[in-house]
Amino acid sequence: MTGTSEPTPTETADAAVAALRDALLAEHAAVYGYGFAAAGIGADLRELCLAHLEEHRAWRDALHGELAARNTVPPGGEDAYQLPEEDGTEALRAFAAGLEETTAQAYLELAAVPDTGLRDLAGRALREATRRTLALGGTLSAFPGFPGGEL
Amino acid sequence: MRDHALSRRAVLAGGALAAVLGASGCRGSDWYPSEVTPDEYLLRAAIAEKERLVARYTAAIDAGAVRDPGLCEELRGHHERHLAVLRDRLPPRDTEPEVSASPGAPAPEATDEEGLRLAEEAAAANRLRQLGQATDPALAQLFASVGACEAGHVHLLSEA
Repeated sequence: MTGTSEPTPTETADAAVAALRDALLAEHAAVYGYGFAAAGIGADLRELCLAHLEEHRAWRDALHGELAARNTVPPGGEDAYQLPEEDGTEALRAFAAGLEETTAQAYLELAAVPDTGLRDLAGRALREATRRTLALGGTLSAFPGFPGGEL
Repeated sequence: MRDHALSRRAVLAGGALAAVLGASGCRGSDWYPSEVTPDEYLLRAAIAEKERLVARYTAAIDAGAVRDPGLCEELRGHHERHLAVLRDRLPPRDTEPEVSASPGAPAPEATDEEGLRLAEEAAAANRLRQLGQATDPALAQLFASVGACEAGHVHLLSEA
């Protein structure tokens, strides 16, 4: 097989599963991270973090279902994830924004798969990650999901 | 990021659908010749829409119809950057396909943030649709990202 041939159905399915797994891992980390952030962040942002936590749980469950539907064992969450060294409100806000950037990049990867249903899911999830970044006080980049928001 | 990119040959092989699109003749107010691939059709549609959005922002800012012209200039700048990237992806041609709607399109009326927000909502919805239709995975990613930016515009205009 040459490098320019079209991907086989198996290769296409494998790529979709790999992208789904990456997105699910990002959502696991987001759920864990938002739980940590909500516990320590200032009262004015706590409700926002809890709302974001619930949204990530919903996306996590959706990804879990997509993988299960493909007869793939979804990866579980880890016992611990890297957490910020500082626990002030600004540090936690930046930490939460980083979680959104990570999930946005994972969904951009998922947007490349041929499955139109997964593309739709990825597009909607990327939009939501962008909106949550703005709700946290972040800035809007021209190309959300790409590294640094730039092309 | 993994490389899902299809070969250019594979993209061009989408000509069968392109022929169907071309054979269908008039698609609303836009028309493209049959040799235009589905991806090029999507690109040209997105470019035409972006040009209209930029014109709407310019009309709104110039007329003083918006409360936060600085924000509107920033958002217009995003659209201009999207336009540049979309145009870069167009295949080289000796002659450009004629676009019947754009030259005679009326200048947009000045609108306020609410009008711009509605336009952005429609644009983001179109990007989600184009994301599902793109043949080239890299183009699909571009539509996903541009749509997310437009959804961000909706959020910012709602708070302006």
